Amino acid sequence: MTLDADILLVHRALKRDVDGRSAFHQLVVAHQAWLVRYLTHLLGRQSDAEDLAQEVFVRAYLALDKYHGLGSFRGWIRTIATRLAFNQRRDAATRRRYEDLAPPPAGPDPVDLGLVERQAVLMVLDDLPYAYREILVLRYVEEMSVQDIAQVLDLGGSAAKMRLSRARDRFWEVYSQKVAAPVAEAPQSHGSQP
Amino acid sequence: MTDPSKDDAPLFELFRGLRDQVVVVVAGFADRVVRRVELLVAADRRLRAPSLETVVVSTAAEVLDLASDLLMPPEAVVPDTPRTTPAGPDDPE
Repeated sequence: MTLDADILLVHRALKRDVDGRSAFHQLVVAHQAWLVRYLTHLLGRQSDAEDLAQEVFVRAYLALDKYHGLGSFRGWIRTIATRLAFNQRRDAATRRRYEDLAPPPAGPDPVDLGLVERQAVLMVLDDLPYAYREILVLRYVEEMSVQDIAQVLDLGGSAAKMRLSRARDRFWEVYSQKVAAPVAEAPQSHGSQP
Repeated sequence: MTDPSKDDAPLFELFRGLRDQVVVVVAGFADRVVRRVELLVAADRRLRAPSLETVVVSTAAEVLDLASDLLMPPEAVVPDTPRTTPAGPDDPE
């Protein structure tokens, strides 16, 4: 959906009448897929992501008058989502420390060539501190500039650069242990088993 | 997207699967969001604005109070008890 189309829908939604709620419904439909995907990458489970995405949209609706159309609507709700995901992750961290290590279940499409690679990346992300996971998703999935990331995470530019650099280093470290090394050690031939 | 540095390039490649991932959101998701919003807005209105019934009952009670004050004979009015100031440590004996 274009920026202009979003802004028009926001203006209609601000009336908070029946037509406004219909406009807001259209905004939700337009943005639900990427938002749930983004939150799934942050939280690890689609069911958690859907619950939180609902919360994000409700908060967005209640704060619609604070969206002035200066940036994209997507960017605005991504900021809300990033903050809520951080809070949720922090609250759940103690409860799930030992339960959440399993990779997330496969998506709805089992014939997916990128599935194995995607699960490998998610498995590595699961092993990283949340702050590293968050910044890697913002940079390499959401394709945001370091400057924009700094704004969303409420960091200075150099702090964001440093966090990204450390996150990258840690990612490769875990990737080489969990993904690259097991692949290299795997038996070359299936016929060698007794 | 800004120019990816050489450190960025392999990760952009590795994360492509996540970028291209198609997520199927549970059916009726947007309907549920809008229904929650409607419930919240309705609850907020109920909290902010008193219902007509509340306004009528409270106005009627105020009118009755006023009428009973007006109908009360003057001798029935108990004068205000004079306020006594407690003796403090600085009071002269």
